[in-house]
Amino acid sequence: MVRSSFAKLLAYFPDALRLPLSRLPETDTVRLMELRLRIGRNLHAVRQGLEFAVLRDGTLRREPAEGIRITPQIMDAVFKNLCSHSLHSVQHQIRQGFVTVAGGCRAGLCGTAVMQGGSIETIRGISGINLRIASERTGCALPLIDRIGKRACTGGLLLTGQPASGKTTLLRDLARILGAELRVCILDERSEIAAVQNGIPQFDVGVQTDVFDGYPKADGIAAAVRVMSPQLLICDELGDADEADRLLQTLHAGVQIIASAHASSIAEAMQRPQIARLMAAGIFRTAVLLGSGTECGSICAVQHFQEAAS
Amino acid sequence: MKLTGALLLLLAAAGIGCRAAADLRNRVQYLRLLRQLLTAICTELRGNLPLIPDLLHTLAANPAYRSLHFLRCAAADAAQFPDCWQRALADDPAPDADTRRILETVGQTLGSTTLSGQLDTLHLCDERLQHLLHDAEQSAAQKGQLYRSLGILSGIFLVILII
Repeated sequence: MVRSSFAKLLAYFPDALRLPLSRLPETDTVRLMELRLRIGRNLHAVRQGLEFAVLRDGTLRREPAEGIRITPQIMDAVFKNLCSHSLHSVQHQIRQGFVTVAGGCRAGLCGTAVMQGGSIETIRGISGINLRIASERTGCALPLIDRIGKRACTGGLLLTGQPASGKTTLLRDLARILGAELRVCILDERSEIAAVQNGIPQFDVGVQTDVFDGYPKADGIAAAVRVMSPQLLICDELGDADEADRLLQTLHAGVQIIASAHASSIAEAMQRPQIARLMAAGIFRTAVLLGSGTECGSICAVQHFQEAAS
Repeated sequence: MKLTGALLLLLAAAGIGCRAAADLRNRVQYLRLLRQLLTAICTELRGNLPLIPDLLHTLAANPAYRSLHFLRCAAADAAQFPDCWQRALADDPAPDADTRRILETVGQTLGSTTLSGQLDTLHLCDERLQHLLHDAEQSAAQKGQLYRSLGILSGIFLVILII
């Protein structure tokens, strides 16, 4: 079963965009992965890795004759709506180049960086927005569990794949399935996995699952281990040294990890210094590569590291 | 009969004078309440970084601000911020032109920029309100007494004319 957050996104758009988007048939909307807005260009929707222009009659075309042009006014209105007219509340996210909105959708922002003291203070003159549409695909993790076994899933699993390869969707379904049997903590720094609103996850992430929403991953890992005694930690997009340090500490706390990382192959992921450290320490015993584009969400490769070592 | 009419005229004239004085006092109270509101907004913004619709709901639920009609209306339609703020102000007869302009600036400022930017602008709005309050207090002290005296004296004058 697929439950897309597309409908929740419509509230953020002015009529000029909302009306054509609301005319899209459901067969299209459940397959949409992104909506892309660029000033002076047409509104695009991404499906299976390909960009289509959205036409006024609610159809998608690869080469449009007449699309919906994004004006500066439309861009400004969409940006302010995405921030709930409360820039101060999402300033920390804007500094990192995104805003998380209802239903776990993430709006990536492109514009002019305003620097202060050598770091980004904010982004002005937003020129492009990439809205990634979160979707709940119940059961999408079952092929993975069938292939590598539940034991491998809970014994240190790294999901790798290119951006928009379905890593977060897979993590969400793994949380739902494994959270039925184990105490799971999700470290949801960008509110994408569980999409918590007023303390309630908007997606089914499992009956024994606790969500650390909005925590920086390093702090969330420490807090989760300290206060929730989880058996399994799930987090998205590992990368920096702090996160790796905290995860290494969990190795001695008896907690297993499922995480994701951007990479176009398992070998490429292992070349990233922090991932390599975690692999060498035995945090991850299995790595899985997900396909992208038309193969989004499918398992392209699996590597077991204990076997490799032996 | 004549005496009763004269007495009624005296009371009516005195009442008009007292009412005018009370209006001046009410304006002082209103401006004080608006300054209190601005302080509460700044405190909330600084402490909790709330979404503006949530902030409006919180403030409107506070009994201290029950008399601010525009705030209740804006909160009732908070999802439509900032349009709801401007609409609510347009529908509220309480603020005079100067106060209305300040409140419009508050609505345009909330959520539109960084926290420090908002706090700076709200501080300026508060200073402008403070000036208006100062003038209103002076006016209430000076003209209030005058209006009451004028009311009573004009009543007496009318009574003398009638009798």
